[in-house]
Amino acid sequence: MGYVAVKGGQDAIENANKLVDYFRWRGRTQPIELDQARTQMRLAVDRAMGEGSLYAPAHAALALLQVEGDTFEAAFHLRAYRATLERRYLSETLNTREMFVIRRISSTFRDIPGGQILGPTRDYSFRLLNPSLLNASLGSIEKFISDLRDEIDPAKLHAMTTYKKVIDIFLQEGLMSRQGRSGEDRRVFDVTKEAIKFPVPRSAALQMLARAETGALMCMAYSTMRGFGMSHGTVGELRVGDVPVRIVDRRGRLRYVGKIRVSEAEMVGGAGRGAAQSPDQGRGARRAAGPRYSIGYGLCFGQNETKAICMGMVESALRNPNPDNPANNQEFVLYHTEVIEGYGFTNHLKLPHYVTFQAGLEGGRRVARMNEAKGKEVTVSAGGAEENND
Amino acid sequence: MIEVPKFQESFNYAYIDEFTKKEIRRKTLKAVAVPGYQVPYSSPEMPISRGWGTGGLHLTLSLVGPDDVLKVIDQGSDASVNACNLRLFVKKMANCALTFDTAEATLIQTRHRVPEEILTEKQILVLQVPQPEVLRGVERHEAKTRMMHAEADYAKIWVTLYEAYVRSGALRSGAGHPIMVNGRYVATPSPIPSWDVPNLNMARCLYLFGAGREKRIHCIPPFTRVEPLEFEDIRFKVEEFIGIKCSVSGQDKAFMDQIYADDFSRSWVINDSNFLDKVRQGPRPPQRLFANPE
Amino acid sequence: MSALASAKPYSQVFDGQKHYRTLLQCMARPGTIGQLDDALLEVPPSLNRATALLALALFSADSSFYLAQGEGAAMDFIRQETAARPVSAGQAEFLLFLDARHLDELRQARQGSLPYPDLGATAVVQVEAISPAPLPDCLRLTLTGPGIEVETAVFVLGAPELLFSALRERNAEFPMGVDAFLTCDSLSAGPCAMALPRTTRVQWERV
Repeated sequence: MGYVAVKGGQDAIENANKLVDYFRWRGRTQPIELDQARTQMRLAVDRAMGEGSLYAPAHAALALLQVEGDTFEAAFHLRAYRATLERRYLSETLNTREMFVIRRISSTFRDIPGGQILGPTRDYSFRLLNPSLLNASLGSIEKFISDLRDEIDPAKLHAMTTYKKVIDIFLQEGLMSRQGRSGEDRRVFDVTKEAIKFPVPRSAALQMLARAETGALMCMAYSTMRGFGMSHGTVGELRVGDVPVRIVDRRGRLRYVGKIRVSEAEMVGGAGRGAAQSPDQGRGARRAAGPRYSIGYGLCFGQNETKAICMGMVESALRNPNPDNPANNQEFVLYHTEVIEGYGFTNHLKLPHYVTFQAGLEGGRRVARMNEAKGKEVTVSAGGAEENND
Repeated sequence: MIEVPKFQESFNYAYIDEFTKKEIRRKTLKAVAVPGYQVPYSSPEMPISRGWGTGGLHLTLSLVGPDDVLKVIDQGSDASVNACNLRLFVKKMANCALTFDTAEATLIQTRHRVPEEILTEKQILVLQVPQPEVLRGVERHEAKTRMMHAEADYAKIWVTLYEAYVRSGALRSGAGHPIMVNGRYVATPSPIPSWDVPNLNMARCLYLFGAGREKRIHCIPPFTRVEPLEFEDIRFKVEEFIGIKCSVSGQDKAFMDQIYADDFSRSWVINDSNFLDKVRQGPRPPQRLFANPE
Repeated sequence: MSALASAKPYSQVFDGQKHYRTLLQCMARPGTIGQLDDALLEVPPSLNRATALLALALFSADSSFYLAQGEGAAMDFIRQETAARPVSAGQAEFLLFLDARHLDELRQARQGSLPYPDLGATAVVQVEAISPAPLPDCLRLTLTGPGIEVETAVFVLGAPELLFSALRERNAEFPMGVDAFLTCDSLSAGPCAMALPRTTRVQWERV
């Protein structure tokens, strides 16, 4: 063994890296430009930013190109990059009422103040493969954009402002309370700086859900709709758009640093859930003897509506612990939707485990010898179902 | 090569920033002060995958300095691909010296084995831990296992050991035999074979255990009582390798790997790569050997 | 007070790492007198150099400390150099005692809780001298427990018995407890530290 074997290990890694590049380039196709990935794979970029917990579209696009589209690896690269960055400021709390909305809908009411704005969505398109996309050229793109501009009435542009929230209706009608639950832990927690302890404060749960893997979160939310949870709520409001980000600089001045695109879902919980809560003390509320609603809140980077909606549903479920339902179990949801940890640990099974296996095998053989000596015939599962066996 | 300042990263010495290093260092000191207890820590993201040694790396990177001599092994071997990868990473980030020689190393990071050669006062062994919660197999919830440790309520794991005995005639037949540390905390030694467990008791070196994904550090200080869980009449035993000799060195009394050749024939080789090198070239390095009770 | 071992300015990265390793060895092997390699650093007179180096190695903006009243220059030094937050004795992660005054405040130090004993505080106590051999009018400490093969004797000057009885009281309910570092600047060895984790059983007698 010794030096020669070690060199073998290092050579294997170097060759593996070369082969990765080979499999990327062997088709000898035109390299994809960063801006092409960033603009034409917008939703993949948005998802990578959310799971990578870093709002940086160019970096997310680079990550996706680098890992040939593997969204787990892309998020991983962004998380690792994020960990090297200095944390200089904490932003002021985002106010999504300031959002420049590109899409805004509500399922709770037919008409809402400001109107339902469908925006860019595939929800009502036919999912038919469209090869004519492949014929696009810069010329045809230019024409499409200028034709679209011609359809816009410049006079109406100025009428667009920000939109009030649908939950304002609930507050106004006394159907919702501004106050949180009494005794709720309202600390602002940063899971990247401090290990979580259960039960986690709401801010920690929200942060983890915002960073969670979209598919895993969907699995949890879906389960609540199919009997593994209480009745699902409705989309009180889903909005997608750009929100200004501000910080307070070292001299105490409030500074605008840019805007980020987010998806926000306010899922309205089932009636009666809020009935036990403290009486409404919000401004402008009318005291009503009716039901009280609560919100399940979802917010994530970019346009990722599935994640925002599922996050809202799961957030709501987590605030109502229930041992029968996985989605109502803080530990189950928060641990198992963590994309980097899940990806790492499931894939780590590819690492050599021959010593642990050997230990089990030897243990099993010893038992068989013992039992043989005793004249017993026993089938032994070597290291099989033992806990902590890795 | 396009220089794009936008994408450039700058790395701190040993990769982790000083602020986070201090947090890990403070937590490590607390782990030493409460042997066997799992200290929660921040566990920063790394460019290496979770489950592939980030916890061990956190400890190594918080410890390492340019004067250190680092050894990294996986399943006992310096040659294992993941060991090579981790070793390259630490070297790149900390510019320390590297070695395969167990005796020469000041800092050893290992996955799932303790070196055969006795470790000394000058050495720290950092073990990578997949599941730091020894009770996880009997209780899935962290909130509950934390209370079980708080109250030293280890009834469930004792029952599991007994049931394993009743079912199969042995306390356990795998790696990671649970241990009682300093007479107070039941802990996992990480998935090391039973063969290695006796090395933890009253040792000369410092053992640090890092679980990155689960975000826990625990410690076995030197000269600390470490007892594998066993019953008075059903004793802890190590793997025996009866009648087996290493086909390369002719030696026995070391943990062995089973090797299959292309023709499906089986042979055995000493698992610890540096120990194997040494016994092939000269006298056996000092070892602590455990004799199984009758 | 002590001759500087090296003329190099203090380096957060490299001195911090070396000092941490020494402090770790002290905690892992109680009774060991660890030498903290000195560096060029302005330290206010009320702090000994060992305490300053320990604070620089371990404290940061997310840690908290307690320093008895009226220790102005020391307080400024720690806040400026480490960004650690000053809090009350009962809340602090680290309690610094620059001399034997206020040691009774050790009784307020956090012990942690049964599920989280790591939240117990760390006391850093400045003494006049720590030695493996007897000194006139010192306390002889006999130490046993994890990290010590059988038992270790160490001699401390300038620490009242109150310190050890307060620690014993704080550590009566293991695993909850308070861990301690004793620090001094030695003429021959430079800045030194010795650790007493809560697992160490301390017997003391005047010599």
